Amino acid sequence: MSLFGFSRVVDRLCHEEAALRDHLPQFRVYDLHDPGRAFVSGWERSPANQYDYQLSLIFPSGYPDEMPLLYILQPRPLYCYDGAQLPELSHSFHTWGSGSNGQTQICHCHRDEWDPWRSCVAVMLRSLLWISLFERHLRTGRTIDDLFEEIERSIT
Amino acid sequence: MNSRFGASGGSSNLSNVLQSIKKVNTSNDALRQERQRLVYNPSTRRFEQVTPAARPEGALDVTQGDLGWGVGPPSAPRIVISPEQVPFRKAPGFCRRVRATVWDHGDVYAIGGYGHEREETVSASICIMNNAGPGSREAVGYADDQMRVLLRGEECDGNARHAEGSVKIEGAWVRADVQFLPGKDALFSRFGGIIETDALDESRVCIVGIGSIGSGVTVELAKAGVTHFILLDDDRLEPGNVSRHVSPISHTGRCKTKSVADLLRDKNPFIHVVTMEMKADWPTVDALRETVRSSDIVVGGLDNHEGRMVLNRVCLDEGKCLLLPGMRRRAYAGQILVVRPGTGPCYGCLIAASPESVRDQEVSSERQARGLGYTDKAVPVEPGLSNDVAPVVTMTTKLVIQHLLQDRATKLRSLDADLIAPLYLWLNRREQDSPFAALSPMGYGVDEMSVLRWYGLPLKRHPSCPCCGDVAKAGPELHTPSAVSALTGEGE
Repeated sequence: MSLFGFSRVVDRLCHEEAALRDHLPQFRVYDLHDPGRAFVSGWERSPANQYDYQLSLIFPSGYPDEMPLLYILQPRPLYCYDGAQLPELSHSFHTWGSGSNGQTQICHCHRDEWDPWRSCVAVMLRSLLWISLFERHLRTGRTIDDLFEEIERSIT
Repeated sequence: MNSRFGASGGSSNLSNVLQSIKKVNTSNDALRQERQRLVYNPSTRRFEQVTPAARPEGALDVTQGDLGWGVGPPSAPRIVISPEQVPFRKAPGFCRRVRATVWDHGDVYAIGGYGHEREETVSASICIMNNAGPGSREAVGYADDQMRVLLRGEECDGNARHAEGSVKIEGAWVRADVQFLPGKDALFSRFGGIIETDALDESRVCIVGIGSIGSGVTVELAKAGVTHFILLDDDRLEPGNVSRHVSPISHTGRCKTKSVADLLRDKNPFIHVVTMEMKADWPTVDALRETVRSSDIVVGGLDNHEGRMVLNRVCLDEGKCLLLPGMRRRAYAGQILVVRPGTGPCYGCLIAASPESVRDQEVSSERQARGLGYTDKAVPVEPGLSNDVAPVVTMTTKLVIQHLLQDRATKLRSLDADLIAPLYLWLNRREQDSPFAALSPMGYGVDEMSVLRWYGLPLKRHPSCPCCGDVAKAGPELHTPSAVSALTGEGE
């Protein structure tokens, strides 16, 4: 990464940290002056209080042009309504693989739709929405995608 | 008909001429027999079949071209030789062993330049003969030769006048016409007056994504005289690609890069092509950066947004001009973004200004569809027609050439004032559910926006673009905080 590139990413991370502090203060950017190590992390207690979730947003080397990866570090693994383990790669559950230690990776955005204008606040907002819908899935058995579409219909 | 035939004079013996020609043409015996020639003997005013030793003084050869006059096509095979295969400055007796590609059941034998193992090949020799003495095609070459070319002269100059070709057919040597492919300078000599023939000779163009657009642009640039290419793609040619791709169905299964590289060499044997079978992706960004650094311009004929993001980043960092051509769904429209680092907008600016134009992309292959969807939910493949893609190929080629010739005095300079826009839009049709559905039909009008025309769009550089702008100045645009409560405060 060039000096200009390094400075550009640090500026961006500082901006993200400020925006998170304003809008979602349960999350913060760690190591924000070291783009190679920086990440967002924080805990979220769900509205239905099923679990406490530890979330982490990992910045890849190409950030912000490259999409950051969103993980649920705790609890892990996650289980579905029917007791089966949450599928790693699923359209119905908006999951996109798993981390090296079995963490669930949430599909907050398709890789081919990510754009660098999307802020960390927008991404973490998606994670909160996912948690909310996941907990509703645990009570109703309806898939996250199904519930997501219902919300989309209600707000449009 | 050449002048020698015209020297036959008088119509009194015309029937004799035709009889002689017919006899030669139908039986081919004269051609099959070594040293037998059909000549016009001015002393007797008759056409005669003679051996070289018995050739009358002042006799005129009747060539294969003469035989083609009014009595059917010439029957002699043709041998085509690339300049690099000619053994220049070799002493008489030198013999080069080569493979010749056989085209059209023996109608044409090609040595070098093209062929590339697509057709049958045979053993052949190109031998240097001394000017003195008649020489013999039997006395030179190799025992298993099926084709020989004898070049006469102390220093072969690649001139067909000094070449004698023969092809072995059913065990007998048959005379063949010899044709030398033009040298490097002559290949593009028809451009004289528009651009210098070597104007694009040293330019290096990197094409990332060798699909229907990328492959088309590559071939068009080669035809314009660009001789250094880097082709980058990890995809292979599928039968479904062929209707829009420059490569033929016989190349199915080949890497698109290698297939197109062969097509380029067919166009110009002096071309230099480096192929890289890899995807433009974040994991390959370092290799991509090296490639871009060594190029004069980059064309991103990519079918995915992520690849464009990677190229945009790399070209901005390296200060290289980037063209991003693409088609919208079912190719109802095409667009070309011109990224001029430091002076114009980039792909990030386009996302901010026109996100719908970025999302509305054609899905032209199964592979692309797989990349867009989850494994448990398919995305339909909906490619457009090849002729709908062609205008984008043509315009992209034009923009590349204009960039490469920017410091040269050419007849194309006037286009500089025309091609200033950072974004070009082409409409193939008034697609339903598109922003252009309500356009007036083209008809005879020239004043209103309509289909089948190019439009230069004034896309501005965004001051706080996260890719090319000053992030610290304005920062990325965020979702509104009120959305948080709307989506999460559901009272559960």
